[in-house]
Amino acid sequence: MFFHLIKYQIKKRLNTKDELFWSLVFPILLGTFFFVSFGGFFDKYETFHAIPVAYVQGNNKSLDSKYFDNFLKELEGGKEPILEISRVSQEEADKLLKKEEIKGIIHAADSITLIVKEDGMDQSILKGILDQYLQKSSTINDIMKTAPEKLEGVINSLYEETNYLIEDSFSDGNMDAMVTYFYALIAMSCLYGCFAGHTIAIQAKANLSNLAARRVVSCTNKLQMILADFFGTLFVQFICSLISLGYLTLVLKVNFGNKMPLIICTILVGNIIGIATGLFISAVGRQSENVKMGIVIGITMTECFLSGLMIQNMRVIVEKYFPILNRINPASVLVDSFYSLNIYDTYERYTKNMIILLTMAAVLCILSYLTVRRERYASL
Amino acid sequence: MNSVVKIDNLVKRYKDLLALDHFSLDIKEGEIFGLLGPNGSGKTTTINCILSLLSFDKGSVEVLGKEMNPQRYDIKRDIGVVFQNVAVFNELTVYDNINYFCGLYIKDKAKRKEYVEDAISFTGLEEFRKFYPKKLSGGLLRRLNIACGIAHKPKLIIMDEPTVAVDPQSRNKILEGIKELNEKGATILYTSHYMEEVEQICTRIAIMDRGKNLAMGTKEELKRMIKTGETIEIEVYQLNETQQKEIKELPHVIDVKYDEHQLKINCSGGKHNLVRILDYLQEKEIAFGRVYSQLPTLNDVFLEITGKELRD
Repeated sequence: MFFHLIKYQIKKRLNTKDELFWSLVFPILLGTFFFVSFGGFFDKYETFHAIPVAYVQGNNKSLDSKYFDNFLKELEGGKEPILEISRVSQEEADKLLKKEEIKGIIHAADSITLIVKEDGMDQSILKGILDQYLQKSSTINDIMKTAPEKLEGVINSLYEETNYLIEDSFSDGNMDAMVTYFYALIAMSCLYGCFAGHTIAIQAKANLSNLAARRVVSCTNKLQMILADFFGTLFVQFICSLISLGYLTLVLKVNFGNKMPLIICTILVGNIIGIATGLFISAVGRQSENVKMGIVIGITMTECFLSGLMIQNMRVIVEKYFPILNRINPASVLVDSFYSLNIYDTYERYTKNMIILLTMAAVLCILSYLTVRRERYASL
Repeated sequence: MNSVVKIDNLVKRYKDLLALDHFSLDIKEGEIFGLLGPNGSGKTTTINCILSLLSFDKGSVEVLGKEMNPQRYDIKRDIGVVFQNVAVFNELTVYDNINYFCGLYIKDKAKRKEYVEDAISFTGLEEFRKFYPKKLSGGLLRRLNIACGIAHKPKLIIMDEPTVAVDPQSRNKILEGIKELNEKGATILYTSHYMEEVEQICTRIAIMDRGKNLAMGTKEELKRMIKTGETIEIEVYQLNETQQKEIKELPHVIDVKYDEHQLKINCSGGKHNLVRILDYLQEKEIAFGRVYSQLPTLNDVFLEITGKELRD
């Protein structure tokens, strides 16, 4: 009996075009839109290369010049060199710049100068590097002249400052900020399960639909019916989410890091909370079906808005002024789960979020059942 | 015979509106019981109380000899319901809809398959089994609605106005089908505001209005309850008030109405009423045209009991 009900629930959901649109087509369309919009960013990141530059050393062989040589060697060394330096004469450097084979000429004589032919990102990076060097060397020189005993402390301080700016991954996730948009998209598609949850409630309350009345007068008990509807719906929602995820990962090549099993697990929990939310909202109250649908859409959109799925900084604003909302808003907790997977190497926060979501889903489902199981209605 | 449905002194209020006013009913096994009444008379409320969908203020409902409540799945197993509004899934085909609802009652897959086929053949939906409800005409949808309600072969079938907005061909098919179900052993509770249907198929009838059971019996018993035994209608071109009074004084004449050249005379039982009236018209040299005579209908019964037409 139970599998008979689940089988038909799956069939029904697969034939419900509007719900399938939100669960499957919408994430794919929006994902494609994101990809097209952010495509340039991805390309820049992936094709970053060392900036070709010519280094023309003057006759000055001072200590400063030696430090600057070492500094440049650091920049052209390592796994991901920032500069590709050609050590040439002034004439040769001018030729290379004219042919646009280099982005600029660094000339180190009495002072360090940068010669560029045109404006651009690479030229800005070169200028930034040199400015930083000049500023720090000037600071060190001043300290040496005025208070040499403090030099070690200042150097350590500058070193710490530099470390502060280094990007360091604490997890196997992808730290790329653009991926957060795709996480938001997946989270939103999970929460669209609320529409299917709404339908489950409508088809379980005899005072809301004729179909529910026909089901309620049968000899199948309500708990069995609701559970079958829930799991059938969850199955379809989950498959839709996996297809969307597959599209993002395999077709659009969005890098979600190395935690795919946990991302899938989060999607499953996200679908559960989405369906449970719709079920609960439509199960309580005496409003008509259309009013309930309006409430479901309103509440879900508000949840999404407050969780930053529409405006990125919203979650930070909520955290600042009304932090409890971020703990009880299913959308916020779901988004936080994705972020914590992405950012942290430990699973403490992620596990906590999963427990919160599952507890909320269980509470919503139990309350829904207690409302729906109501024996007789005062009016139909 | 055993009672299949027994309602005793049922009272149901919707705030200030008294929907069922100490309503009682006793449907015996093997009957096609008609519940006849105008819209808003309380027929659907009665059904919803029988099915334990609605709460009620007073009284009791017994189905198949046991007190009915929402948890009586053993009773529900033997009840089939055809609701007034079509209640099927638009996302499922005709076959899947019937199979789904049959599956709420029948666990055995092979048995269910057989029952579904029976229901499809019974309602004449063989050609439409793969159709989705949106592709069906109103009549076919009604037939699907019936198939979903009766596929599990229940002992008691409750049909709430199953022929509303149905074309004559489908209506006849539905009525024939109801008789067939009854012949196969099902007891049927049939509600309608179409008196012709109720007269055609029901073995016993209750007439209800404003939540009250006004009269109950076979159609012959109901017709015997009223004074009118025959209604005669004659096309008369001119008739003055004196002549109308003289006709009213003829033997067995209860009431005379003359409007737009139509003379309508209600007579109590008795023979040769028509001959007597025609003799009078000839004697007075009153010109007349077409003549109709008909025995009382359930509408006459309703009219005499409530003072209003059944379809008012």
